[in-house]
Amino acid sequence: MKKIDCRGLACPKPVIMTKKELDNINSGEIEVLVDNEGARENLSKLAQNYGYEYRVLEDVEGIHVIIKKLEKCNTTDLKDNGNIVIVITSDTLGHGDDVLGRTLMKSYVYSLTEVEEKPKTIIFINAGVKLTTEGSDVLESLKVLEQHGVEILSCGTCLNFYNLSDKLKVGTVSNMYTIVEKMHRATNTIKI
Amino acid sequence: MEYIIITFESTNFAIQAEAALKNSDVNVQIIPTPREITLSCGISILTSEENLSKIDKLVNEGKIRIKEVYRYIKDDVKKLERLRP
Repeated sequence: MKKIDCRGLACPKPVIMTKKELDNINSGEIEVLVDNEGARENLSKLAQNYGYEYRVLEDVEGIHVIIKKLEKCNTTDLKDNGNIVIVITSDTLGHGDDVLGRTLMKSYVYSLTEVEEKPKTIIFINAGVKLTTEGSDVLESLKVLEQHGVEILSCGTCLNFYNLSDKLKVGTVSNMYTIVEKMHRATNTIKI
Repeated sequence: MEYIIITFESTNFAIQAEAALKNSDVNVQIIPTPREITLSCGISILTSEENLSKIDKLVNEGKIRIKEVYRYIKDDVKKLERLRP
């Protein structure tokens, strides 16, 4: 078992070092030695977030957090069967400041490319179609998603309304019937 | 693939930098700061190494304020390496 001594290290160093070690192994245990409650708490959260088993022992040396990484296949395979549909109804994420909202939307779409569990379909409605058309800052990310088999649909009515019908750069045009069917067939519809 | 990630002291600095870099025709992408760098919800800029000199120029001219620069290697295994400071 690999052991890491994180005593005396300031937050978030122990978490970063542990995460790195966990990324390096396929499965197995890693023992992290820390000297404070905060670090113990953060390491427990790290393990929980990734679904790894962990146990904590205390002795004169300090607090030992032992994290067990299991082989991946069992959990991700199950999740892959999900049919996630994301409906994006604006070119901003959340309500408040529009500049921040546009920035958050770029950040959000990029994150979709990085996570293992991809949605099956992303539907763009109303001002959301500004994201799939010329001048959008997320075209690259959307193209990456399309390459991963994610279906990208833009509402035709909306493209027409915003005079963007000939400016579509990624995915295909769709109508409300298809959009409704996609949402109803989804195991999880996420509206953004 | 190799990328460069630039972090900022604040969300506003990141937004300003994105605008300034785009004005200077530097191809950048807004991304959430990777968890390996910070566990808080931050915004960073993803770009390529060839743009570093242009970015440095804007930094030196005081047009943008950056915090750290990382090299991000994205193959089967992702790897982050801090270049600056």
